[in-house]
Amino acid sequence: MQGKRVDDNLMGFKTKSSQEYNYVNSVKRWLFTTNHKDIGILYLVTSLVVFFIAGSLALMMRTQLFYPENTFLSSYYYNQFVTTHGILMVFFFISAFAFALANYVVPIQIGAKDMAFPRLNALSYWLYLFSAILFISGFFFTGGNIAGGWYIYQPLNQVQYSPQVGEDAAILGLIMLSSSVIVSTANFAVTIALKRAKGYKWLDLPMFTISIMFTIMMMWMAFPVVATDLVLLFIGRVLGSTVLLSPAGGALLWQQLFWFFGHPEVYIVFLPALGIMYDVSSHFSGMPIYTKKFMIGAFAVETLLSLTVYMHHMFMTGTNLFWLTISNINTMAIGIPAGVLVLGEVITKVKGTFRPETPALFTVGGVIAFIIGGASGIFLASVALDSGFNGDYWVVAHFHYIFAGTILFGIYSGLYFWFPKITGKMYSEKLGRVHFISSFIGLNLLYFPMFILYDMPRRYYTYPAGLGWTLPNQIATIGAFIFGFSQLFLIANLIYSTVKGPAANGNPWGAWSYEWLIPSPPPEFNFEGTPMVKGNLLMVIPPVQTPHAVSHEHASGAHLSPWPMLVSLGAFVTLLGISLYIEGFNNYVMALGLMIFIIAVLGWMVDDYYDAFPSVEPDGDLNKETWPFSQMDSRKVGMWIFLTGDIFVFLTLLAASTFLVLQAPVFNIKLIDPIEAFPNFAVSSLVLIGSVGSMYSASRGAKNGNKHAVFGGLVLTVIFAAIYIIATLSDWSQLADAGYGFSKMSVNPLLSAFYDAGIVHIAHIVAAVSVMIYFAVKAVTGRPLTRTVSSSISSLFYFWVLIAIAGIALTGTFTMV
Amino acid sequence: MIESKLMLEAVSVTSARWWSLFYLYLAVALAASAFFVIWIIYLVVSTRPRKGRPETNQIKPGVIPSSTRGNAKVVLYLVVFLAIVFYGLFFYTLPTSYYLKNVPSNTNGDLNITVYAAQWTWTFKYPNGYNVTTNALHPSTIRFPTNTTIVFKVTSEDVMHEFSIPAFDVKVDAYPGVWNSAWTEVTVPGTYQVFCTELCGIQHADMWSYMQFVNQSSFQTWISSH
Repeated sequence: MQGKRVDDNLMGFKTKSSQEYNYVNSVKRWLFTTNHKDIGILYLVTSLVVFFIAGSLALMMRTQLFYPENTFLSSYYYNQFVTTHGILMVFFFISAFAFALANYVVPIQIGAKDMAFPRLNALSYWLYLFSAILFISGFFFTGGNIAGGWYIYQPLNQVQYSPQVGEDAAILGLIMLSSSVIVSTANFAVTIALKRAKGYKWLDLPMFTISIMFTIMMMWMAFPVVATDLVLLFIGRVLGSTVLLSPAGGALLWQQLFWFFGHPEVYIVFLPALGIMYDVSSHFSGMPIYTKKFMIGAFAVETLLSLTVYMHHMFMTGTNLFWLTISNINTMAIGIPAGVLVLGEVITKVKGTFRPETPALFTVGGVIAFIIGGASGIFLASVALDSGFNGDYWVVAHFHYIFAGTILFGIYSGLYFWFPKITGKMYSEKLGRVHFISSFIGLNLLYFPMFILYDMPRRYYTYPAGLGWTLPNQIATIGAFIFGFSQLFLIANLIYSTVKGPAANGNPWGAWSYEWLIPSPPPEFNFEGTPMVKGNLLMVIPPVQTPHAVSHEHASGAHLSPWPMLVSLGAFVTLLGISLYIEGFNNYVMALGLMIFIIAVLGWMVDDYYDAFPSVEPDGDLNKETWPFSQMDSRKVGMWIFLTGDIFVFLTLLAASTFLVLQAPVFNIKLIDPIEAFPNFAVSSLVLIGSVGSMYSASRGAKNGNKHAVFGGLVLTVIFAAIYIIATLSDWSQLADAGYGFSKMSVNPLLSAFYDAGIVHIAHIVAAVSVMIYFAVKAVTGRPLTRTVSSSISSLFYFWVLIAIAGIALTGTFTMV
Repeated sequence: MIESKLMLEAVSVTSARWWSLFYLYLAVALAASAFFVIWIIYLVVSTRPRKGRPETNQIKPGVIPSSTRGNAKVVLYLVVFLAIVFYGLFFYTLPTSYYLKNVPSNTNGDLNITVYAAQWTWTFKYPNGYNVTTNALHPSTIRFPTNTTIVFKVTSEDVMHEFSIPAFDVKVDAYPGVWNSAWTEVTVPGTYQVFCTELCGIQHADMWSYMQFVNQSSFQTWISSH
């Protein structure tokens, strides 16, 4: 089905058949690609595979719950399935699905030729793929996969209560995934901040890009926190650290740390879907977005408030009612922008002509699901009513209406909307409508009965008869199968239409934004010329040179790189090796993984050493809109964003340590005499302060083009760092001699917090030092100090300042005991 | 006699307050949802492309749509409307939150029960020192009096659990090393269930038990025989 035909030559756009750009259609292309469009497709396929795996787990659980006292699944499998279903859907599917579209569409929407850091983009994808494999591999270890619930409450998930090695593999997978998200966050932020077409104002950007921008703002605070939580958990499981087992409230500490991530995560998955629904609604009703500025404001308010509501997951924890009430107030507050945003999406349709095609239908279904899910959520926001709902099926119904209803439908609408752009083919409208109708019926049959099960506890693998729970469960199970199998219509549609669908032109919907002004599928570098916005017109200024010269500059396949894939593979094999080692195998796999990892990192560095991988769009391009970051280049913006996240890593450690330090007297836990504990504290602090100075001189030297200063500064910093590490290790060995070694972590939560912080801190130093050595070599062997190099070295300086401050602050905290 | 879990009437003072609050929320939620769902469906149907209605399309390829569409007042009204609904409910809820969460201070007639949650049993300790451990697989009789304020002091001996009696809307987390409290006063004698509502390991689903609520004199007879 086709909408309006649009003249592809409009405003200087050159039409070219897609075959011309089909550079290397081979295995090599898909393994080594760094092109944002290919990576988007890879994300899309992978996330859909994860969706089907996680969905099958859910169908098996629903089968088990069809009868009371059913024996289809034992609790051993049910607990694993209920946990992995949640984690796969929340961490590995829904966000990745939205970011598949974001990867494909956002760079084009802002008028960029690729992401700011194409190789890091590929790295994000490969880390994501391998982390999913590692997570799922947990099923094959002795004792099975993680089984303690998707929010991994403590102390149940400690090794004492969940000894299965599969859980270690799963946690390592989650840590790997968090790193993928952190890399991707910085990449998207820099891309949107610095790669917009000249003249493209923030408020004029399509709603999807705006929603992604707010999403990454939450991601860069939330994901470093969850990564740190998981590292604490892993160290606890493997080395016996007891921070999360502390009788001084380790379980409660985990809830604080986890939900600090967990609630923003809800908005992290919600906002992109909402952004898509706005754009789709606007296109299919032919009307501009209603009060766009206010709606963007509502996104901003939502983002800010998302950090303040997480305590509503903790109404039953026995926490002071005053704080619960504050959280109740905040939760009601965040409902206001959420309500405004969803109703604003509907008001956008007013006075337009609503074309009921598949993408548009999914937005209607999504909004209706939101009204049901949102209204039932208001019950849960109340401290009083939650005492009848917490941990019961009302909660399950509520959040599934939002996740599987609003968010999934929102992203589906985007998938159908951009399908002709991605494939150059039109999807089957008939199959699309069948998919919508069957999904919508299945959704309601599946989740509405769960409101009637308001008092049935979640995560029970079986339930007694005679409590009135049987019939609603049976309806839900039937709904689950309808919902589950109707997703096959989507897959059939995607495959059939990609192969046999009618060709789609560049703009089958008559839509306005940049992605619709170029051919379908777009050429390798999106635009044949320079995108530029004049007033309210999106234009592409044709290149001054002949088109052929441009094609040579960006020769086909010029930005293939094997290193992102190999770095991720190396990390994967290493982490898998660690899990196998815990399982009792030898450590050869781990060694092999480390070898691949180191070779791949070196390969990446060698590429950079020869500047063999030029940016697709170098910094300092005057054809880019960079306000308000005009004074910074992509490396600095990226580093500042990374640092904001990293601050949250150290704040998490500091929070855990402070929590224990404050609780220690109450629960009578002792570290040891601080003077005795840290004989080298003065030395290590001084060394850290000194290293900041030497790193600063390297950074100044890079700015002034003084290679000797760069080399000297970097080498001095590396030496200082080495002294610091030696002093710290000597502290640790003296602690061990005094009877406070690693092994004592199992009886002393404070000592655990101390070592946990130390391990994370030293890992940071090792990473920073490796990069310093690289730049020192680069400077001394006479490679030019380009602007990129100098800006990397100043970024490294900021990073080092954070490491130094964190080192002193963390050690300082423990001297206060 | 086992009460159906679908009972929608109150059997304790706490659930009486809970249900009256619930019905208010339900009325507001149903009214608002119905209004918006009907409006959306009407909007979608009435603006569909059809004969005799000129097709609107203000979206032009390559032209940024006007960002000035709309009336700020509509957004303002929406914010005010939502704020009134949400904060109206919030303030109406506040007394109930305090009523449910504030455990009454000890008076002579109160019954203090100490509850130990462990993988995967509930142990109830009565003031006279009588201990009963129970779960779905190894059920034991536990009795409590009606028309008496009962305070449950809850802790865990291993992982996190959640002490939950849905019939009374009594719910509180059980942590190792921490004491939490919940209270109720049951008005209707009968058999109810206590559940664990926080995933606590492989037999989580077996961590529930029946509780018998009988009148005070029968309870006294029962407890003094132990």
